[in-house]
Amino acid sequence: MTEPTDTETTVRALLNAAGMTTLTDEQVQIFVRAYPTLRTAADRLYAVPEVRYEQPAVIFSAR
Amino acid sequence: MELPVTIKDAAVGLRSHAFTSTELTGALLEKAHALNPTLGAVITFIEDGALSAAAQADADFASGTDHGPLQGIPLAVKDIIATADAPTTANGLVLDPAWGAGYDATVIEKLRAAGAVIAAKLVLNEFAIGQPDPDKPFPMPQNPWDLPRSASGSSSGTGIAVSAGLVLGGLGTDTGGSTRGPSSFNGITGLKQTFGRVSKWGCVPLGYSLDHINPMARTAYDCALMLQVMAGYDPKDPTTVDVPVPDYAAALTGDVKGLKIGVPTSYFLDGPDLDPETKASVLAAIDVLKGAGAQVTEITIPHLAEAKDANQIIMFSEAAAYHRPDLGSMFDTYGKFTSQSLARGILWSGADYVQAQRFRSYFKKVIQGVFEQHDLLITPTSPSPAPLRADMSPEKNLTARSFTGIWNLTGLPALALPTGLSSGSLPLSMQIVGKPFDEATVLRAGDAYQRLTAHHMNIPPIAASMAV
Repeated sequence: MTEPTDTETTVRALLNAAGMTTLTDEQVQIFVRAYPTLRTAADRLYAVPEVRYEQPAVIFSAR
Repeated sequence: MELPVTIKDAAVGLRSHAFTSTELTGALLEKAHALNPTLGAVITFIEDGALSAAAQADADFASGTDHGPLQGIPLAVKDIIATADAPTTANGLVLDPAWGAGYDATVIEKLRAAGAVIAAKLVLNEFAIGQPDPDKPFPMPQNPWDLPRSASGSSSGTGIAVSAGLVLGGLGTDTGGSTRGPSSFNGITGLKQTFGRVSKWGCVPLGYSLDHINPMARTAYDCALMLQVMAGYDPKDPTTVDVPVPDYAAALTGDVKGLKIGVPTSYFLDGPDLDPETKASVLAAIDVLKGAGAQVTEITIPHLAEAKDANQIIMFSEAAAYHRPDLGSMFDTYGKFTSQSLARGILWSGADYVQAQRFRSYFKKVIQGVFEQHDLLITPTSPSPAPLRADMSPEKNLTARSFTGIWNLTGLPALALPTGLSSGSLPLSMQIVGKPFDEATVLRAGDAYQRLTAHHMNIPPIAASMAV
């Protein structure tokens, strides 16, 4: 589990990489405020021990 | 003319010549036109198409042709599902107008073949996510029970239209609760069937592996009638499953003796956000089924909060992939609450998405284990009745608990139905969850409850007072 040292830098990098480069500072801050909650939600799933060796529910069939 | 309030009653009335489909459709369109400026349920009226279909239904009845209970019944469609005779907007300005032009989604084809009358395209939260944006040129949905309150979403227009009797049934979609939430807040019945039971072809996606197109109506019986037509394998939708479609209405025997019902208390029946009247009404509803012979057991299901998280990560990641090109070039063309919600998917990694799908595989096994001991589960549909719209925000939504998305994650059938009114006259609702492709048992329990109670017949005063 990683703890970003600069949430805003991380969020701006992710938004820019996705092509969302025209957002205002106010719009970016909405995501900066949400990011810790989003990150916690994902990190919680890595912490469920029963999932460690589970297969994802996205198995592709070539048939 | 006294308007029927259920599909079942309307079907009887049409066949007993109490009214024609043309009269019924005309009367409901008149009512919808009168109430829509206040309720904000309809984006597009399909007047000519509806009256033409109604006339055809009448001609078919007269010639002895009967396509089944939906013949001549006015229905409406969430405006994210393609209809050949009306544009599809997804309640926004971003969707390419050419998308959905000139063809029907599979479910619409099936409903028309059954003689149903498609009367309108209905309001939704833009792209089935977010919240209504008053700055965009679309009607603002108002809860018919109390206008300043939320009609939930994203199938808000369908919830309002059925509740206020503007149509007798409608289509919603559900990726995390978007059929069951509006059913709960507007006091109607809505079924999220098993994932793969109904084709999604012709519907704008939100979460590819979580989306469903659903029937919403006043009763479980009416939902069964709609599902009968909608269900079935579709080669155009690879997520549909080739499983036989049973006779859902025939399964509605009213008998729940011996049904084993599990009630997960932790997460669903605790927590500071759980409204006491909501809890009391759901427990009372469970007692009704217990009195009718069902066996009820309190159970515990682990990792329910994580299941909600997994549903959100999958939904927003899949949505972000679909919307990424437009979020980059048209961020401000989206409603502000829509873009805020959709772009969350950008902030998780591909590995996070896979982890959510790994959790999904694990959690599916947990729930399978629960259903080895039970036929059904019952929970509240929402933690509370409809809140004031002014008190809502995407930020609050981010951390709020969800009682519905867990069943999208597991793909199980889940029926939301009214359990009464609060002390403030707002609808309360319970959710009945079943085994995969066992909608018949879910609907049987819902129908049995509705045979013993009358909450599903509550009509919002704003609609009840209107004579046509």
